[in-house]
Amino acid sequence: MERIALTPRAGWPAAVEDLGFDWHTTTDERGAPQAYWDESAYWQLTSDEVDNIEAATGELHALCLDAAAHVIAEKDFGLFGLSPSQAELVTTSWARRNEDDLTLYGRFDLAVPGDGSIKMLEYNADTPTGLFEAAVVQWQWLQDRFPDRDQFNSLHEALVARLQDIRLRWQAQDVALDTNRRTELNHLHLTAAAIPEDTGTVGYLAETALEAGFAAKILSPEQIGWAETGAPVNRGAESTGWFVDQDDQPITGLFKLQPWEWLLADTFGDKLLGAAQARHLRLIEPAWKILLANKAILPVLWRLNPGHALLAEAHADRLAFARPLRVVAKPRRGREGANVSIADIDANGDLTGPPLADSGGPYGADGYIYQECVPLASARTEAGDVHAVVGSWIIGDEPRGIGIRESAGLITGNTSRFVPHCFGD
Amino acid sequence: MNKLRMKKSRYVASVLRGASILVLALPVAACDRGGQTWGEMPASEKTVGEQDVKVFSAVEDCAAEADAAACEAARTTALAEHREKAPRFGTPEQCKENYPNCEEVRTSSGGSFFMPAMMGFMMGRMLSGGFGAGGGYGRAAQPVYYGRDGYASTTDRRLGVPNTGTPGGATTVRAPVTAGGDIGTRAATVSRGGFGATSSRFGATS
Repeated sequence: MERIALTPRAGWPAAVEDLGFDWHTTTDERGAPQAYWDESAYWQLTSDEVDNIEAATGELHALCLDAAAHVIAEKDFGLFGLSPSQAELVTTSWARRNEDDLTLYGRFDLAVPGDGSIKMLEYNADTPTGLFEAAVVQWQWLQDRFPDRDQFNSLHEALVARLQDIRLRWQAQDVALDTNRRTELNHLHLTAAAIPEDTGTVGYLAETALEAGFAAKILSPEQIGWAETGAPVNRGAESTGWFVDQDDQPITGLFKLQPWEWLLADTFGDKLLGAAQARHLRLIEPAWKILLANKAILPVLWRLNPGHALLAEAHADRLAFARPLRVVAKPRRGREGANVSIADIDANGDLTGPPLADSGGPYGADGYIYQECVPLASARTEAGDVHAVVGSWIIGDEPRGIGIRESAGLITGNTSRFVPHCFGD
Repeated sequence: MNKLRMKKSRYVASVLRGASILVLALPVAACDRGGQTWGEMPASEKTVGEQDVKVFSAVEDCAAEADAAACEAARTTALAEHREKAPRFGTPEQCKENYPNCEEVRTSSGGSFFMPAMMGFMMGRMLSGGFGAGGGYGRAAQPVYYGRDGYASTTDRRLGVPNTGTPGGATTVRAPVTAGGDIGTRAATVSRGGFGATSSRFGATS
């Protein structure tokens, strides 16, 4: 992987805005504009590197599925912080993973330092973003700049094909179960918070869903309603309800760009749990992804595959490293690189000095896991050193493309820049 | 390993033409408000027809058309059902939002709640239409309320808009009949805002 500086396309903001990419520039803590999409450079990969990333991603996905199966079979939910009913939902959902509870996508964050090694940093298995940038925006960039080169990116076709597959399998399932929700079987609702990045991502996914034959409708989480039969207030214990959209139409299939644990913690959390458990509501991603999105899966992976070349050593307890090492502490249910810290520990797991980096943030209440600090792809620029993480996408069960995020610090966060890539001559 | 990853993307082609959409709509026709296509509503709730229902505001109105003793019994049954199952509200404002006429009920523990006033009753058996085992409805006499939305309802079912043209006597309501033999569709109450609170504490996803 080589980082090559390049003058941005003249008028690039207008070009990407034409695609619907209106979150290409964000603001820093002081409110100053900060590039999110950054085409002042690109990453050039070799064909072999792309092949290796593709193979590693497929293998890691398989390892993760095995780890989820293990956790469920052994009822090893302790590290995951699930309530008994949540653990039950995850278990049911896993059993239905080829029927109702089908996965659409996930994104591995990989360290690809350039010495031939590839290591998994984490798996964004529930609510990965950066999809539109990877699938569409960097493709446009490639067409404009290097139309004769290649890009590891067949994300759009893969998304449409997978959504079509999901639609048909839901349909078949409805017929098999003979439910009376058949009239809704082509409906897919998509929900995301009113943040440009998130609404942009679901807007793109709604388009792919339409292309896949769904009738798609977007709503905010606040617009989701719960309808109940019977008179208000004193309705009987037998009363059941269902989720409805802003027009009171039933929601039977829901793509959510909201993490499962947030939705479950909300007021409607118990209703969501019940509806998913009772098959009244199908979700993308399905509930079993709760396990893979939780960083507690990292020590499980290491325990099941100790020394695996694609894994960084990870433990729930720092003492388990039993040697002096640089480690990264990650909140089990953290996001966007928040509350991540890096420190050196001795053989007893004690810190040998102040943390080398500490990102701060709102997470961490559920505890941390510790992962060996592994080198990232890096490059020296006029502005200083940059570090890059390769976000490698799984659509369905297949690796279908990458997007590269770059930052000056060691922790890839919300404000890291998206830098396009290509391979071939 | 597949070396050739470059592809022609139809999506990219379409957005390059500037066709970017963010707001989409479902076909409305798929959802019939008659009740039969709601998410998990049981088949017995499917609407199979309509029936004129007579609502009497007093025993005398009823006695003009039916046996007086039966009318008296029906009113007594409806009143008991009203006291037990009428929609209850914590404040008079909440009740008045839904029903123009409300009454306060004091509980034995010293508290109180509010419920709509019973505006009339309907008799099951005399409104015979061949539904249910006894030639009447699954349930006999029931209290009837008039809501602010203009609809007449029972304790848990929505009937229809009353015919206000009738001077005195019974009021006629044309109400849906379900496959299960019930008059009226089950009313749905929708609450919102149960999602989104947790996300506002954290911000972006990943």
